Amino acid sequence: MRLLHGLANFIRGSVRCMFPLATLGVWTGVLLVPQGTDVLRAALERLSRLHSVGDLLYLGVASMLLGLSLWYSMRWLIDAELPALRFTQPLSTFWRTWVPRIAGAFAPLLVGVVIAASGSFSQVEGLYRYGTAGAFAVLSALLLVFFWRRRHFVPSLRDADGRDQDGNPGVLALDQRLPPGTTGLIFWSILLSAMLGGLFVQFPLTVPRVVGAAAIAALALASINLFGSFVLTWLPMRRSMPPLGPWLVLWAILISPFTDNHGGRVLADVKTSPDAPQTIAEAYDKWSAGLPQGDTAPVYIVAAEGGGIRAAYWTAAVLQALDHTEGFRNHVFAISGVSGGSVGAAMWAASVRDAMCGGASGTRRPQATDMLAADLVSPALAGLFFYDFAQRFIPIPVDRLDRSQGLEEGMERAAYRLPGRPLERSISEFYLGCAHLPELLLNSTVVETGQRAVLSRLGSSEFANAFPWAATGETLSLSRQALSQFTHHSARFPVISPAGSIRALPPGEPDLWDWLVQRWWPPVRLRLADGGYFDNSGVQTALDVLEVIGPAAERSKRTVKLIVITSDPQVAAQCGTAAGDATCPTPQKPDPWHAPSVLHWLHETVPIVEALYLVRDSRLHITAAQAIRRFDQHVIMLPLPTGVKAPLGWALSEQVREDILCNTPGVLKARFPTAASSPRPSYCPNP
Amino acid sequence: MNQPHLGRSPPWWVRRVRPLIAWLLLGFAVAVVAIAVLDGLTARWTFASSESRKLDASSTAEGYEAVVIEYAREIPDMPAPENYSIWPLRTQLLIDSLVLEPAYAGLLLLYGLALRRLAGRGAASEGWDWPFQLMCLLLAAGVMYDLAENGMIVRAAEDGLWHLLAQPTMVDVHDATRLKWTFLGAATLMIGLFARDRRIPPVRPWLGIGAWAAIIVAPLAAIQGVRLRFGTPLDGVLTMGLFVAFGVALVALGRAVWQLSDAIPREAVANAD
Repeated sequence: MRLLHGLANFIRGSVRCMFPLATLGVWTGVLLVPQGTDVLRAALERLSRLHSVGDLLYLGVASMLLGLSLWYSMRWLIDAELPALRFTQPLSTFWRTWVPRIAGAFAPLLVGVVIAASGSFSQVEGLYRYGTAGAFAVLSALLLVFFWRRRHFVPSLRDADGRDQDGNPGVLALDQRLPPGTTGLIFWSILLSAMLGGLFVQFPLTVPRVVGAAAIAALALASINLFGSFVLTWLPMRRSMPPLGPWLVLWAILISPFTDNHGGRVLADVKTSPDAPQTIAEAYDKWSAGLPQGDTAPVYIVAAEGGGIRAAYWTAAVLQALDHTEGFRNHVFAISGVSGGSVGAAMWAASVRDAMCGGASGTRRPQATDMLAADLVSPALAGLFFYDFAQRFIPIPVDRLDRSQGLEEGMERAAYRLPGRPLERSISEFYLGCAHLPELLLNSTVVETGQRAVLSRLGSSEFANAFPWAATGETLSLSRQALSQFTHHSARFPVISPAGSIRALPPGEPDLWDWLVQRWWPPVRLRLADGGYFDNSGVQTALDVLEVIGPAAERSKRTVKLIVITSDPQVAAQCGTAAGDATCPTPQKPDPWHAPSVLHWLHETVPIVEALYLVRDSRLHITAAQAIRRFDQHVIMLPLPTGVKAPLGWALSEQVREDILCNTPGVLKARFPTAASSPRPSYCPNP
Repeated sequence: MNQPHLGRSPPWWVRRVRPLIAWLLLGFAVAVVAIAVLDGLTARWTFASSESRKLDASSTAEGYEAVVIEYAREIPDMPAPENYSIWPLRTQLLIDSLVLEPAYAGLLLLYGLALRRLAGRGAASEGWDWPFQLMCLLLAAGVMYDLAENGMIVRAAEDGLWHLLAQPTMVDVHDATRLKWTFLGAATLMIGLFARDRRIPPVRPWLGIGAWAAIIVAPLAAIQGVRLRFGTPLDGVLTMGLFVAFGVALVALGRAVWQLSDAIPREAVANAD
């Protein structure tokens, strides 16, 4: 019977503490996913290489605040009498005092454990690594001491929440109000969280980068936990009502048609050229006319595979290195990018635009890899956890609260010093006066139809079953969006970025009523998700391009070659030492068959998600096989070496960036010896 | 006690002006010490204090970048700007964030709280002291913008070294600076108004001086926040003036609070001149 009572109390306690427990779970997940670990590694690198303690200080303070938030909320949720869910028998002192204390101390301790135990930190100097891990352990211990001995340090607390006759913490009876200090603390915590959220809205890029991704997550979780525990759980349960969390979720679902704030900015004015090509064939004719007479060098089509910042940086590094081969950039006709591959491709194209369009030489311009060294994940996380999260509960769409701006403006600011600020222009303006720039074909997925959406300055009629933009018959907001937004439409990484809404633009100036209606309920025509849902390789679009330009290239006796830049670890493993060689992309079975593990969880739902995910991978191999057949073996697969452990996500540590740059020549040496022999950065070990 | 050798007491205006001058001098000394702590500590690590002012003065990305790169090359044995040689700047801003900001925030909070207590307001029985809470809110906002500004300056310097600094980033830095001064000015104004509370026993001129200094400083800070930019000699003078005024206000208020709360029994305060 005692055991049953204990079990019942355990369940009741878990329900009461659902917000703190969920917070602990999310915090653990955030730190253990590869992007979380790499964010910690980046913070540690800033300490060891730049002597910058700011990131770790913010993380320390944020994890301490998270610990305090967890301890405080659990304490009140367990200690107070909640008539909606009474304990069957009084809880022991251990449960009432030590469980909240341990939970609170766990928040900073976990950071230290991850830093000390994870293999990702093996390249960080031991003093910094274990010193930092130790500092977080000490912080955790200090928190524990504070929880335990706070009455000893602060005499006024001795009478604040009282103790029973045995000296154990008192239970807050129903007729007792929360102490004024506690009310003030909760009020101020929520107020400061709101102020921090306001600061992120005002400076969506700069302040998140100062605070850092891990600290943002900790601060957000601390705020959400306090609000959820006290306002959504404690208050209603104290008044014999159920917790309000599920009702808030229901509210968010019900109002969701009126909370779509992901329409994106619209440029005021877009310049177009009347003689700009409209089709791939036209574009190829104009482009090939710009090649020197007698030039028979191969024409390249590049397919840049998706994979977050890992793919973006790898694509940029490869294209940058290939650029050392004379004439390479002039012989790239098109780049088909997906997700991170699109980001890398757009950054590279932007970085060479000025040089290819008659810009002044000699001035130092940032390279694509320099620009991708920027922290793109912190602004996105600040939006995800703070202001865009708040928008889910406000039934009026506020475009300023769209977290897309973090990634888009992040890219724009990274490319700000490039002449003409190319990422802030529309894609048609990007090509004004630069006819020989490679055609950017950025692949996205239309949510409503499941079709591929090829975002470029060209029409989509020549792409097989691609979304027909002209068929909508309306002027869409997409036509007045910047290249950074196009890139982001292709790279809408799940969770970090929302689906982008493409709205119909009104033909004229709307009257007040129409303006108000459109403001509240924007005319969304379609939504764009990450291009990787359709084809994560970008090869399908490259094949369509070959279909169109193949005959013309054959007439001029040019070979068309397909370069596939991939960061897929499977491909790298299959290629092995054959990377960059024609033998590399020999189609193989996607993966050795393996029976499901003995414990296969949630077999009603997980298999569906798993199958959908793996079908996408499987299709990569089918399109690769098609490409080999169609390109007549002129396929060059350039995989990210397996030795480079790069995370998915939107920020890379310096160590990973260096690993990628140092490994690039090795991958290129089989087919592009000139590029491979270009000077390696000084920090690279001898090959 | 009769002290004939001291002669006649000085005229009334000397009695009025002398403490004012004394406190002005003390305030100036506090300001100088504060600036010396800020700049002088890092000067011995080869970071010239003039460089920090140049960084503040550069309102454009190009100007800021030029200063950062110039400064980076001034550090001996630094091969290239890419090698991140801005750690003295980091140290300076770290001291600002970890020492000076908590110090001024704590002082203002303490003065505000003490003045409210002296005025007999803010007792638990009266419920929330909303004016004091508002002052705390303004102060918290000012501190948040100050912290954000410090971090932004370091990030901007790093971007500058990599030729990636964007003008919007510089605009962000300057916006944070202005809002910091505005909120701190508003918080100081509220403290000045607290000190003018009629329920505080009228003792000594110190409290009055401090209160008026705070009330004068506040609009100056707000003007500095909203309009002024660093970079001209006039701005430099105003900035120094602001430091001095803050110093006077803080010292005078501190002295008054100390006098009224701890050093003098409440009965004596009640019967003072």
